[in-house]
Amino acid sequence: MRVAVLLTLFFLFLAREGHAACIPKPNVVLVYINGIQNDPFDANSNLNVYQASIQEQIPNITVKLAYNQSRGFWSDSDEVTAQKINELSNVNPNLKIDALRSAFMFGDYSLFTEYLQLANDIKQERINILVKLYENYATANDTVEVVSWIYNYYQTNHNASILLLPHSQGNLYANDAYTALVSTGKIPKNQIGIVGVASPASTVSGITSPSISDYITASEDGIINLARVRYAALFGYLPVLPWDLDALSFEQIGANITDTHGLATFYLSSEFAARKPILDAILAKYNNLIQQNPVYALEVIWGDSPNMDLSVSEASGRSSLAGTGSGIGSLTNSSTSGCYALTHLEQDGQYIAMVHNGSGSSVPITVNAIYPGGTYSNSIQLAPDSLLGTFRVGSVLSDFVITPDLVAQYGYPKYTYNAFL
Amino acid sequence: MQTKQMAILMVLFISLIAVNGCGGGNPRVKVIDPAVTTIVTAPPTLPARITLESVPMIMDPAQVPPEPDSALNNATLAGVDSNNNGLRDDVEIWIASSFKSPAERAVVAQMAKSMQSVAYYKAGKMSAESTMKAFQASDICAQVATHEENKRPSYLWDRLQRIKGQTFNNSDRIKSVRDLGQDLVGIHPGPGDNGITFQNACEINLGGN
Repeated sequence: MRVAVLLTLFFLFLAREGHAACIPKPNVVLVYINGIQNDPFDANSNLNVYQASIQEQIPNITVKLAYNQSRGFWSDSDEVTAQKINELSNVNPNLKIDALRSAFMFGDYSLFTEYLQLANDIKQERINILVKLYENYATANDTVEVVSWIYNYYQTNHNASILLLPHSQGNLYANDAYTALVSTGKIPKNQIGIVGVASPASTVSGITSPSISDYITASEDGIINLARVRYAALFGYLPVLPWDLDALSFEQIGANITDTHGLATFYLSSEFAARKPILDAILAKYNNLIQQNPVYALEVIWGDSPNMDLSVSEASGRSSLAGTGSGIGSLTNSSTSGCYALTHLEQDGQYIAMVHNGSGSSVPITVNAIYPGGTYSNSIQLAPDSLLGTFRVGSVLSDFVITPDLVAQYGYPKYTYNAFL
Repeated sequence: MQTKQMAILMVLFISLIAVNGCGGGNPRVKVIDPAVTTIVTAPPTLPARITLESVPMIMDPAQVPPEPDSALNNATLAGVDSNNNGLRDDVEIWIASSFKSPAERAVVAQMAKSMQSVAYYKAGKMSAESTMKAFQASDICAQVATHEENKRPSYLWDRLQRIKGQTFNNSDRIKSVRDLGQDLVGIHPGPGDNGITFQNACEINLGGN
């Protein structure tokens, strides 16, 4: 009796181990977009700090970088100005250009001594360049690159959900990227989110009324406060999101803290109060993306039977996977088990999983199915030359349904199959 | 007429600089001065690791290479690395005199070597990806091996800026960093994807400083 109990526990342990190995990682990719004046070293250093900070909330998560190139202060500043003008919707493009010209003619850059020293013709030339930059906005600036990086992360991670983590100017890129990717249908709306930090933008794309769960800007942020005053004064109608947090304590206010904008040095520093709201907002949006994009996985464990193989026909016959392959989901086979993981339900419908027992003898198998509604487990003997049933997923059939009937329809006439459900 | 032609040329020249700076041109087309990117007075390949033997100033700040000839040092991106340890001599001397503890000199030396790799990248001897990977390792090492007292983000950031300022100390070297940023498009491995961990990030770890 004791032996039987121990054996049962042992097999349960094995099943659990196999089960755990088959569950795909939560498929959300975090992407940091840096602000202006960040060379690759600065951006990478911030990335490392961001990742270490987020790992306190989400262990082992990695953060990617969509690098917003810096080409120097003036170029970066021109980009920001063009981006801010571009934020205006339903405004005649010519009026936007007039605003742009006015900004230069009436003192936008006269805030800087360096600009005052420029000759008038060079100032005019800079205006022309900026107008051209704005006019060619969609293709001429780094947005194209940032968008391509994000889309690349989406594709190379099996259509993973994307959580954008922009800092400073990166917020303007994040908004543009969100719009570009969602409006073209490249990434579904329920698979992309933004948690902005130190935002000079007027909105958070995809959010009607942005709050501290969508962006965190400290009231003490000198750079964003300057941007807020600058754009309000010079353009008259280019709003910047209001600050939503006091990051300095009463004691710190009098402590001559000069850096109130840096990502690693201020916002993520444990010395100040912005860190926790940022990490909380990231965790909440991360969990929300996971909930909206559930994971399905099917695992069949057959012990050491090398002649067993799992194959999967994906929804609407779009992909037929065997061995080790990937389509909407990914399939792996080893000598002891097969695993199919669907980390993003791109297409509702029938997903047909089949096991071919080519071992020449009956094989005990364990089936573990993981789906948003729970798990399904069963163990059966699979006869030689037999196939095992199917599962279906989709918004109509909300759970895994494991039935054998569809196997016959998918044309394996030389095999019979054993129904187990 | 001549003055007008000159003026037109000037405008075109300024436009070219500015447009390239704004990203409106084609920044991938680069004119590289071979004299700048050639590795002449430094090892032909960047050493994979620093060691206490190859960088003796880590333990004894008096053991530094001689001050390099300024013109020779600035003639190429790689500059002068007379002891072939992957650190430019002037940067090595600066580290020895600027940081008091051996552990911090080790951290800073690794970071400086990772920045020296930009010269090797520009000379076609390293990829942009491996150049950034070297830096990512050094930056994670800085988090791991820096004493708690100095782990303030502002201190780490300020130290990073000082090392960059010392390494990229002329216009060619500053431009090389921008070129690196351009060439990183689409090939950037993040931490966690590049095999770097807290355990293996440091080439030398003297356990805090």
